[in-house]
Amino acid sequence: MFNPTVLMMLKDALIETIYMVATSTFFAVLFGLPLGILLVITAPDHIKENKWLNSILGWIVNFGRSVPFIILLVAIVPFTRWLVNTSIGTTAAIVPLSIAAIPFVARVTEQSLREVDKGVIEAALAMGATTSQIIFKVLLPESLPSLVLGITITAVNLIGYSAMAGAIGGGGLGDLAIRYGYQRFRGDVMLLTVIVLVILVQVVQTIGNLIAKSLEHK
Amino acid sequence: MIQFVNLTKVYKGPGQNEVVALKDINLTINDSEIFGIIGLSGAGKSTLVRTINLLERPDVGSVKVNGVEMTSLSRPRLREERQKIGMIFQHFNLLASKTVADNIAFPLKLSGAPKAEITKRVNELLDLVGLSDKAKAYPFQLSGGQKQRVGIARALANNQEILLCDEATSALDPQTTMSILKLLKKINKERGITIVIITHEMNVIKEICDRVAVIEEGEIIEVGPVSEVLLNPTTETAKTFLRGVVKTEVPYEVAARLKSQNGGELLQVTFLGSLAGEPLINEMVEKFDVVINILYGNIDQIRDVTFGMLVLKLTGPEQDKAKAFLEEKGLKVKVIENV
Ligand SMILES: Nc1ncnc2c1ncn2[C@@H]1O[C@H](COP(=O)(O)OP(=O)(O)OP(=O)(O)O)[C@@H](O)[C@H]1O
Ligand SMILES: [Mg+2]
Repeated sequence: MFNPTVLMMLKDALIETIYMVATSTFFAVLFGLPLGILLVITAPDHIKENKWLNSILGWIVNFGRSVPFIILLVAIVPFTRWLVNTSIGTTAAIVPLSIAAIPFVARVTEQSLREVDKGVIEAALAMGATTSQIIFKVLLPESLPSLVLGITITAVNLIGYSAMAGAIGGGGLGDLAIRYGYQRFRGDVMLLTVIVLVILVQVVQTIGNLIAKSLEHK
Repeated sequence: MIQFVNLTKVYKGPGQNEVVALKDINLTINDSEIFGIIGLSGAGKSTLVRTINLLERPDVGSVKVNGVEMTSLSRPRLREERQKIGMIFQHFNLLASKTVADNIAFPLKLSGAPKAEITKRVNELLDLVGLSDKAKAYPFQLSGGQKQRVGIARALANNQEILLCDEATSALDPQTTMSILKLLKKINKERGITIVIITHEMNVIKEICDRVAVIEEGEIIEVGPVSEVLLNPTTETAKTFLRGVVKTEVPYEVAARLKSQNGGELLQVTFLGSLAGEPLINEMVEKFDVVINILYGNIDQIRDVTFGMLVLKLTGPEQDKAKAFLEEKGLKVKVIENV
């Protein structure tokens, strides 16, 4: 079972998975983080209270979170094709993965930033801080450990989702497991793939925990 | 100078509920004074002090800080004015992710001060509050008193002219409270900074305030120099606060003992300020044909005012003349009861 071809395939699939997960985590944070910040600051009694914007954003995020990933995967094929000129392969898989994770990151961000003590925000306001100073010098730094943990969870979820995306030709470990393990009855490949996935999840989670811990001053 | 004119603030509660947090407040706080605001929970103390830097916007009336009408400022101008007003809080509100030095540097960074100046200023402030050895510590590594010192240093970083303290010592033990009050007093003396202190502890007022306002249900019911308000409270709320701080009442045990003695008139004599140093009782005995017996006494100090209370038994043919003499000299004489 440890023959060089299988190991080669595993290595390539692992790299593809890491590529998909890293890239889609990046895009999810790029769009999800600002969305989460907006959700927090427009909430009642926060620094930029705005009932309308808050409920519209909340509704969009909930909508995004309630669409099953497998349906999203298929539903946005035209969009994916328009964006990256193809609907199969690792690069194409990044589009639905990112979109699925954006609302998740938004909620995770919202939750983290909401933990920031109201008193600390008030102290900054009393010092004459602007809205952007409160966001970038108070909210984000104060919730950084919690944000790192949230992004770690996002990445771990994306590892799972990427396996699903693999099932429709996205490449990566999931793709390998389906094509060899399932369709060609190679139980050994299936097993190896799962083991690699488990290790990957553990490694990502551990790194996330370590970073969060090093940032925390409690 | 901080001036409140006809200040009213109404909170809209759930449904049609309205809470009138401040009712037509008129008050002037002078430059360089330590001004106390005392009241029961929910009286409106925090709301009042938060209108000074407009963390709370009043519905009616005006707040002027050094002549600037706060309620009509544009947002950038308001931020500018806020930088001149320091504030410290009951729960310190430090940034957990930043070191002591960075917490103190925070307001300087917000206002875009040059790096070299920030370092210099932070060191000065650390020295002022006695935390030079804690510059690199994080707030979680500090005691409550130390955290409040960081809060004070941070609140003075921009050379503020006004310092607002919302229950700044309420989370601290009595000893730490005293050391923080001492620090505030020192800052007031050295820099002439105006300090507004909110508290529900009369001892804080007694310790460092020059003037005090008693607030009840959104209204200022009493205001004046601390010694005056403390010694001659005219309202029930003020009296309640004073019990236990200023002893002007005859303890129960003493009263019971007095009842068992007969003959003569029992007087409670209260004296204030410079009178406390004069040998008035002696003078009275020499001048009039009376005999006195001092049964109970208590002398205390509020700021630089000494005050005291004596319970005397007065007997003799010139009782009434002697009593009139004391009153004439400015003592407060109250007949407890004819025994
Ligand atoms: N944001 C708010 N919304 C509605 N009502 C409020 C709000 N803030 C304060 N109040 C009400 O206004 C009144 C005055 O509150 P305030 O916080 O000024 O009292 P306080 O004297 O500071 O009390 P404490 O000693 O408990 O801090 C209270 O009845 C309170 O319930
Ligand atoms: Mg309060």
